[in-house]
Amino acid sequence: MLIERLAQMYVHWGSPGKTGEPTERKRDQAVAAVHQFLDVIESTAEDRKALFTQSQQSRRKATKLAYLLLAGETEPTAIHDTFLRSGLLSEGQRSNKPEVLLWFAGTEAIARGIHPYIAFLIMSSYFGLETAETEFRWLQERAGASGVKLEEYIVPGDLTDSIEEALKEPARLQRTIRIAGMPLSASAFAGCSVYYIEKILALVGPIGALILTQMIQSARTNLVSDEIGTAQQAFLDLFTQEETESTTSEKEAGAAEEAFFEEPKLPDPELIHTTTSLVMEADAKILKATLSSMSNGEITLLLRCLDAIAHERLLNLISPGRQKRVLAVIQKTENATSEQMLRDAQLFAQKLLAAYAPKNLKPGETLGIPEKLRGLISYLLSRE
Amino acid sequence: MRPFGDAPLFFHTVVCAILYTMIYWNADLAAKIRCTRQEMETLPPYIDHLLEVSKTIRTMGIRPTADQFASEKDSFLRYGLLLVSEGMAGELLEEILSVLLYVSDLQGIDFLRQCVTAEAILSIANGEDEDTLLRKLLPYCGIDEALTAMTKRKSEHAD
Repeated sequence: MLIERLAQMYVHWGSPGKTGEPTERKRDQAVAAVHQFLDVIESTAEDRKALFTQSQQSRRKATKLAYLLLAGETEPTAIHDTFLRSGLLSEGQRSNKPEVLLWFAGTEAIARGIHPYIAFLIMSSYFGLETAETEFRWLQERAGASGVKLEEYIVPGDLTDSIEEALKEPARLQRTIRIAGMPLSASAFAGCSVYYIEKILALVGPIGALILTQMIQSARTNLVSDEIGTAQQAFLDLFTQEETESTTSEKEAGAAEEAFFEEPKLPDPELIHTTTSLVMEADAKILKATLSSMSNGEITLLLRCLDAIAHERLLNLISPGRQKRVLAVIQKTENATSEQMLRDAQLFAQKLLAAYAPKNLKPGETLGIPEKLRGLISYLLSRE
Repeated sequence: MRPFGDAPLFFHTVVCAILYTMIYWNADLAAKIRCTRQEMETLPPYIDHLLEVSKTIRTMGIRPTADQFASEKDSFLRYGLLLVSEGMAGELLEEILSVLLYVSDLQGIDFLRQCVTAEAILSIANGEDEDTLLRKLLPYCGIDEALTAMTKRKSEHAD
């Protein structure tokens, strides 16, 4: 319980002390020093020399000590001991105890590898509720203005395949992100397309979104595909465990699906032949990326427009877990009308075309699509 | 919902809360948190409010850009939920909340109410259900009040 942690703080540090209201000027100076700390940590990263220089330039003892300990890459446990031995928290120095503790907490947080923004929130909480909320708003603005963008990078896996479905339950997804924690969530999202990542980031505020974005960038640099795949599976397991309160959206989806299959007619053999050729001719990597951007339902609808040979190629490009889910949906579906099948095939052709298009295509340049494939896509999209 | 459906677990929580406080007992904290029985009787309605907030967030989620909690009068709860809206939970959120309590100027029932709020924020962030939340919050009302509330809610549930 939280009260236990609070009691521990009292036992370890004693009462925070009644030192009277700090003057506005003093508080502003202390807040400015914490702002500077955030700037320095963000800009110097692991540059020990810069941190050492910062230590020398600092006037306050606690601030000086904080930079010095970080420059020395001190272990978190040693930071605790050093602050205790420094005398800054001894009886005679207690008039500014919360301020010393905030530097201890911030230094320890950075040494533990905690994101600088979270460290900043921990530090600003020592100023009390009012200032903490003001600083939170300031940090939100700062995070919102950062403009960090992610590149496209897709690692096929269970989460990549299921994220569209998961986004239909935002409350459950928000909860899973919190339970999984930012590092695991970021590692799992690292394999998703930018389109879906942007939708996920909209589920948290600007501070959380920036932290997740930076952690995703880090995961893409430091993790191999298998590790991202494992993180995806772990995240998905957590998401599955989280019970959903409402199944309304599922019911609505089911009703829509039922309405969709109302008037079964015979399939159009030419449409099936063209769509099958499209799947067989497409590059495996591009096809994989296209399937990642499609929901299980969309893949199921596409399968109805294909010959068996294309079924095999398509299913081999998705994860075993997703294969099972897609096959489970197929068993429940009925025949569709020719118009519906054409629409499904055209949707797939559009997504395939989008997957072939590089992001940095300049005006006048043509897409690098094989001639035969180009013809098949054009033919399919021009059909009515 | 099944409040107090698992009575032994509830008693276990109550006993643990008392033991923790005894293990880390501190005179300053005990003085800061002290309040009268009458004051503590004001907590159950507030706990009901926290349960409502928890239920809303669990079903509807949080809209981070909509300033969803602007109308929340309790500034501690409002700030805590803002932290939750940023995806914060677990150890780090607990650290921030406990620091806010540590430096809080409030005393007596107002401070105890902040402790209850902090516990609720953490529980909401960690995705705990209403039964668990209730088991964590009611011990703050004191054993007698918790037992009365338990009996009352049990009979309401039976009706």
